[in-house]
Amino acid sequence: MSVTAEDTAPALLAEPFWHRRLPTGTDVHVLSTGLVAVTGHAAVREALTHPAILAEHPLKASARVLGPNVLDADGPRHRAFRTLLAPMLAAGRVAEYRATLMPPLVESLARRLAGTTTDDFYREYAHLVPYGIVCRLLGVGTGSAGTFHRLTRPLANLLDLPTQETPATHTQTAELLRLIEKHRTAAGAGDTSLLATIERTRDRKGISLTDDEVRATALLFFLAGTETSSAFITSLVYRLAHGTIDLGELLDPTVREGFIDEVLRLHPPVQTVIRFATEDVTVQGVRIPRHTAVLICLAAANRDPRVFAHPDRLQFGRAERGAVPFAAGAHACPGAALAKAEFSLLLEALARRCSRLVLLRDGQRTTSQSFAHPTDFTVEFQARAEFQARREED
Amino acid sequence: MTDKATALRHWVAGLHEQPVDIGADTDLIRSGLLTSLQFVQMVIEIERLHGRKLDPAVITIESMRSLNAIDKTVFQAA
Repeated sequence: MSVTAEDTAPALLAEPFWHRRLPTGTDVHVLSTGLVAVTGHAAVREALTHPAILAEHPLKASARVLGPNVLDADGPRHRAFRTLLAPMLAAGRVAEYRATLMPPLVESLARRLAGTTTDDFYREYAHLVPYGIVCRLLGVGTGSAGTFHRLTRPLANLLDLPTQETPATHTQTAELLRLIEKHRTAAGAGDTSLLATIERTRDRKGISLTDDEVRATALLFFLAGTETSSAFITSLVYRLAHGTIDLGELLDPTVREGFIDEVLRLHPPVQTVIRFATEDVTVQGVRIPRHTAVLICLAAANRDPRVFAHPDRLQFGRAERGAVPFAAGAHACPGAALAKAEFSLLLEALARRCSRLVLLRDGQRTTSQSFAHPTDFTVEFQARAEFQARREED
Repeated sequence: MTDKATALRHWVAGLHEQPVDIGADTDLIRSGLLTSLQFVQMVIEIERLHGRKLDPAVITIESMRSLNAIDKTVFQAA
């Protein structure tokens, strides 16, 4: 099936693998006046790194609702926002989180999952580790994770495609910003939380960002760190439940890394990003007029058969490189190392406690473009014998 | 409203299958007349009707919020 004149962008984007409906023969597709989709691997990389295809647009929903923030800025302003976040995402800090902050959270989840069957892994379990981690990083404590989860998940629709902006979006954004402000002003001098670190970095480096901009950036850090990870953890579990790998193999860190990379290639949580042409540009020889919204499909790039042999096949340890699950260029995800550490620890904990995951029902549905994950499936986490016995004793 | 603003009203109306009521001061986003993506695409239509490049400083939420606002800040501006 291909795109017809009657198709609208929202209807097209509501389909998880919308890029498959586009005609072959080009990687740059004019969908309508002012709207272009970019799909092939080379075209996606070119668009993501093009100096005149930018993230910033004053009318974009997230910019309008959140105000100036890291996601919707480019150039020096964007670099200033990233500088604020950099200390929290440095390799040393990630190693520290991996050693101290993450283990209790992943162990707690793995313990709950072993021996459990669920019809809605995403809603019941996927958020527990990401929200636990990011609440601690932000400095709001894990006790607030439930509140933040309730407020944040609907807010994710604002960053999704098609975007859903409702009065509730504005109310919840205001409430989250109020909570962040409360914790920001309470942060102490020796505090190592994100909010305290942002304040220190801002003062030390003389970064001229307003309190509003700092709050919006903290909120986006929160949203990205929780909802994208929740989505991807769901994809990991879904793939494990397909029996694509013996869980015991995941005790090997190299195998885990290869498995995570391959699932990221096939199921990037952010499937599509939106950018804007600030002047007339060409991508792969196709002219894109200025002001055009450019839908850049990371998921399509990751399955480009010109780069990845048998692109739809899960084949960990692939020789081919170049997948872009975390995008590329100035706006590449700064939290990739943190996220991968989280996924690795979780897989290890699951591999120690579970003998296998069994897919009992599969509706074969995927939802969302910005926080993509499989949905409508039932999975059983079969506990290893020693943990099963312990569970029965409990 | 200028003819250009009226033409823009037709453009917005043309995005809908059913007739819609678009007042001069109707908030184009909050009323649901435009999706977030269409709001961005509207800039191209405004520029086409205007016949020249828009000053980037004009592309703000306040100046694009309603037909009246667009008319004043773009079409009627020198």
